[in-house]
Amino acid sequence: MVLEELVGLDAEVAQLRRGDPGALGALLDRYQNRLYRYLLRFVRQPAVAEDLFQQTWLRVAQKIRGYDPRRSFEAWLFAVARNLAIDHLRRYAPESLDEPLPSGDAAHEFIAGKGPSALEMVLSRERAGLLATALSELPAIYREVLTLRFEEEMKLEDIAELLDAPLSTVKTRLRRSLEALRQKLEQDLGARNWE
Amino acid sequence: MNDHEEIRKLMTLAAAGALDAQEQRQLEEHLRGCAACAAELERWSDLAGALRRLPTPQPSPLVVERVRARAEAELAAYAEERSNFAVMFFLVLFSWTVTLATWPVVRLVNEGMFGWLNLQQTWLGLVGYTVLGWLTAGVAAGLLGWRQRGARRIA
Repeated sequence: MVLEELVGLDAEVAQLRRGDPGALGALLDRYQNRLYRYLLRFVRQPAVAEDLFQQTWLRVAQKIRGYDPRRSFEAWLFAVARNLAIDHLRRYAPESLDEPLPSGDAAHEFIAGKGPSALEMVLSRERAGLLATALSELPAIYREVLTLRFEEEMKLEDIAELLDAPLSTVKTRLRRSLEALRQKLEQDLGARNWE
Repeated sequence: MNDHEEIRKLMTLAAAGALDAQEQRQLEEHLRGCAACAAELERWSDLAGALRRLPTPQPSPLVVERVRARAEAELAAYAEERSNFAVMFFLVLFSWTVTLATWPVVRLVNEGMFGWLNLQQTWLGLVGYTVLGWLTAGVAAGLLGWRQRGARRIA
């Protein structure tokens, strides 16, 4: 984020803390797509993501006075959304939020230097739909860390703060989620070719 | 764990831009002498690139407008609550000031200069005077609130 944007963001947050509705509109414009994308990747269902999106902004309006301006607003905003999403998943989705145990060492399963792989075929055809589907089939905590790092382009330190986890855990989760995604893609494409 | 396994782990993290300086050096050193791993790193980087290029889903404009309206209403309600609190605080302060400031005058008018010496009557009178004052203020505040609610319903 460039300096000008940061100053603008700080000013908007300060105005919102003073109760200015216009500042809330500006922050909504700034973050609406990113926040919705994060929630959608996390909970997968658009209707639920939209509901959580709405709840997040209401919570922001209610809690902004408790926000510590020394912290990153972005991390705080995403943490509000994350808590709501986790509550929802715990209550309504029979999906485990625990990290899956690694099935052996996934790194073994990718064999280098064999010519064009199934993965390359996917990527070379730019089949974003297939990639998005594979991503949506990963466990929630893998989907989350992948979208935070690659789509939101968050710094590792910010992700660690948001997840309330040590940096080493974030790195391990990131590695495992990439491996799981690649494995999923290769399996999916392999099955299609076989059919 | 052999060298290749260690390096493969680093490659995943390299694609995610998550290596520290020492890991980066270790990876680069290995890649200089290993074409297979260099090709593998390219695959991981392609996957990372594809993730970054995924289309961004967007919330419907209708939802965004609804959120905007509700969140702004929430802020406005909070601002009104705060302003009401400030007004109430001022009114309470004002009521006490008026009560305490006018009480000696009332006593003076009713009982002359030495009425103060009858402490029991002074305190009972003050309590009665305060209750009367607060009852009047309560009725006025209730009427004001009722009128405000009516105005909000019409709006």
